[in-house]
Amino acid sequence: MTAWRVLLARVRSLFVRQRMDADLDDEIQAHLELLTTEYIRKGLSPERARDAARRDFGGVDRTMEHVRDQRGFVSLDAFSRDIRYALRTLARTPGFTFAAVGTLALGIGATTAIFSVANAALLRPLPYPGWSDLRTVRTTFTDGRVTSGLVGPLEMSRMKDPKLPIVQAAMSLRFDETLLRDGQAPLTIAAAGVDEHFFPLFGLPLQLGAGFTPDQFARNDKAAPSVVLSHHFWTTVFGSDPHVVGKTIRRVDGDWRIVGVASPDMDVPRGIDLWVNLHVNPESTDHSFDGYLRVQPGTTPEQLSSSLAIVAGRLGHDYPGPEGNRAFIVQPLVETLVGDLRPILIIVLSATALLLVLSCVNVTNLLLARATRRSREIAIRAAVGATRRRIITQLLVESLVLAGAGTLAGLGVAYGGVRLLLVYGASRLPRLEAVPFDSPVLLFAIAMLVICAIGVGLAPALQLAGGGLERFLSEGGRSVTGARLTNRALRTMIVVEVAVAVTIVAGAGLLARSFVNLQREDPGFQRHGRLTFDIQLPSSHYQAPDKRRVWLDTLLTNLQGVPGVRTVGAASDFPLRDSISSRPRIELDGWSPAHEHVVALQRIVTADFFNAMGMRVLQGRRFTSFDREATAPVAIVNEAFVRKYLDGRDPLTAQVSYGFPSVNPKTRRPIVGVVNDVKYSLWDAADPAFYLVQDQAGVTQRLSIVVTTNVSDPNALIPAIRAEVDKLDPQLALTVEPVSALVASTLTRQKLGTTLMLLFAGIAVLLATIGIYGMIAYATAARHTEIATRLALGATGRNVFWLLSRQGLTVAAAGAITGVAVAYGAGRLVASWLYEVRASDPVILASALVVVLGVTMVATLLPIRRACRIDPSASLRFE
Amino acid sequence: MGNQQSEVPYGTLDLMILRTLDAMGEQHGYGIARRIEQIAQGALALNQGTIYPALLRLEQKGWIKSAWGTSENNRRARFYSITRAGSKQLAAETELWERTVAMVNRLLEDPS
Repeated sequence: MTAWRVLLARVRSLFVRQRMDADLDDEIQAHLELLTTEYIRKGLSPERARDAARRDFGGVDRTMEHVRDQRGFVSLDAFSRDIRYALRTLARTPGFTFAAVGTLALGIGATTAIFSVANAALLRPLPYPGWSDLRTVRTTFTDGRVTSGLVGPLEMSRMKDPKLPIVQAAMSLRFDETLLRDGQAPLTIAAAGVDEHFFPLFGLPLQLGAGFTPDQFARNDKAAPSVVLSHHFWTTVFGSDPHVVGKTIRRVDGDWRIVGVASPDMDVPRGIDLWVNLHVNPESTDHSFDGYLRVQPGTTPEQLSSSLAIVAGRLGHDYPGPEGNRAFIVQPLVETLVGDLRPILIIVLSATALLLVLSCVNVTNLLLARATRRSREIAIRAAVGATRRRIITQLLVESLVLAGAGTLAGLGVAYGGVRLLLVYGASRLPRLEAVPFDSPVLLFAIAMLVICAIGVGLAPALQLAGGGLERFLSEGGRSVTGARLTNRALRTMIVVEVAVAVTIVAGAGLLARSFVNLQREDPGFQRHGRLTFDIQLPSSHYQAPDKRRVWLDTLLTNLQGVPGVRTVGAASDFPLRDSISSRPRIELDGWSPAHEHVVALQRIVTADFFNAMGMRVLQGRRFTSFDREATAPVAIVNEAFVRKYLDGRDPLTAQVSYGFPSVNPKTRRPIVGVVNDVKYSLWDAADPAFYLVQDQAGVTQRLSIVVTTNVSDPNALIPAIRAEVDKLDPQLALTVEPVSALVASTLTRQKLGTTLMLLFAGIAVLLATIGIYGMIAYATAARHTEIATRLALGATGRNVFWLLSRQGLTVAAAGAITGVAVAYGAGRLVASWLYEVRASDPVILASALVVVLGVTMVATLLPIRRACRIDPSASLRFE
Repeated sequence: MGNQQSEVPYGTLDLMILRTLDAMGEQHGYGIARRIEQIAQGALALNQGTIYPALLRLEQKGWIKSAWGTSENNRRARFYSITRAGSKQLAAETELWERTVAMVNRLLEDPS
């Protein structure tokens, strides 16, 4: 209590220093005058009286100084004196200062840069009011069947039950749309159909207009669909037209009326251009929606998942067909937006933390070596009466100055690093459009500063001011042995350096291996020499399936005629594209095996699609131009289908029928071939799928077209392809891209993480090398006399070299073993985030060992070799 | 801080100040110093300045409080008075002091 009051009084005094000084002066002057008056009354002359008063009082300045000491904390004067002294000392050794500040800046900069990225992606609040209560909801099957994870209106209406800890439930349906513009090329845009609760759930006010009204969501609403424009769409396409509300957007399938412009912060689903009102049947089990929840504040994940488990259970009971065996998965909205960037950031941030440890160890080492050289100075200061506490304070202030300079430079490094990352491609990742240097980042940097100051300052301070002090005095700082580091401290630092370097290098190895595995992952199709583009045929112009077929046939034939084009294929959906595939129920030979609801992906392709994609037919035959509407219907399945549903049977003897929500017996057809699996996501194994040929199953409205070429640069064909499409329908918008680019773009995050890890591993090895070199050089210098004596007594240079090397390398080996253990442990922790890499991967661990031990050996042996080449007699005489 | 070379026994200055304020009521620094000197009857070489850090320390602890007033010679001066907490502390320290003195006395008088 009392201590607390004293502290408060001292803190307060920091702010009213000048007034308090003036008051004190007044008080003392009054005191002196009273004393003087007293002496005058006793008969002294005024001058003598004044002198006597001063004598009685004691030193006025000293009194004031004492009062000031009692008033505040450490005297600020002393502190600024220490800082000035530290700056002077550091300025005298620019080489040392530059090395120390640079090393710290590297460590702090890397850590702060990655932290600011993590802060932007994971910690920064979302712009929606009450953002931490927002969740996304997906579904999954509990019986091992695969699903897109999308939810249905029936499920979402059940979640509006007031007994649940859910305030609001909403959904959206993402689709592409083509807008028509006067005198300009048509525009493909990303649209989202939303229900009534969508905008209220996110709670952002509109920029313009009144937005949707509840009656627009009524199922009997016959008015033209209304749209709310996203802010960026409004600025880029409508030039921020303030009178845009009430205007119409033209489409082939009828106009849309603009009813509002969303807040600039509204970005769900990510990158969407506009939102359209949907008329949904609340009883529908159509699973094609993204679900969002706003939960009651303070709801725990357990409460939410247990109440959703009850919802799922009831749904399964009431609608055993479409809703049976389902469960809900909820995730904070932030995590859904950021996706698999999170684990990568955590790995990289840990690596930078280790890098910071390396920087600190290196700077500590530099300081220790320097402290030894400064032993004479310290000895003198101790001799003239500096207390141990004063000396330690002074040394700590020096470390603080170094750490401060390192932090400032580190902030610069971090700022530059982040800009570089953004330019390099990170800005395309969700939530990284901007990486602000906001208060959490600055607080983090300050924390780094404090950690570094203590970390790099304490060791030398204790070393010098501790037991060593008396020795300095007795030896007068003449000999380096005076402040020789304990061997243990040196060994510990070398072990830490080697271990940290091995850990980071192995970590980089794991991530790189995971990335390479993903990159090498055979997607089941050829990625080179191919272009792909999507086409969305407007339903009003191409309502009749025949019309679509004629159109497509013409396009494919025309494309085939473009010089340089080898094969042209088309399919209902394309690998690695976020598209919602149709997933009907199937029956084999008219019955459902094993499970109750067997589903498989249904893909409709042209006869040439397998060829154009470079897929292999493993059994039976491919589709041919003879598989037509009039001929017997056939199907081709993939390997996963055979594995899962045809367990050991000859696939070519089986027949498949399909349909949704129940299987249509009329669709029964023989399986005539098996093609290899094609990955629709690089991370996941291929799902069972069956292929139908377009001539028999009908042309879908949305098509992915793939063009194989033998031109060396497929991009060169893009204008010709565009021209062919334009000739047929100038109102179609299309983006043509190489298939290889499509594959690469799915790995942006992994590539970023791997690049960063490799960079940091390089820096770590460099720092460890420099650090170990410095330490060994220092240690051998300290053993100068010993080496000279050994040589003088007849040991050969070689003997001494091996003696010292053995000691050095034993320590390095200890560090390496520690490093491998740590790397293995850390690898186990992150294994689930890696693709087909085990933490114990011997190649990675061994390579990390070889790299780090290799450079360690050089860093150890070079200084030892130099030390062994001394002339013993000269050296001993000098001593 | 408070322990520089004064011949005031270590730690007793605080006790003396508290006792003075307790006995005489509100006083300025000069008054306190004079009073202590009078009581000591020349047995104590007090640097009068040393009471100021002690006064500040006692005030920070909440045992005394101060207010500005006018001194006998019409100058602005700070007047100190003891607080309730200070009175309690004085009682406690007085008891401690007496016990200590008694103990030391016994020790010194012990013939063996």
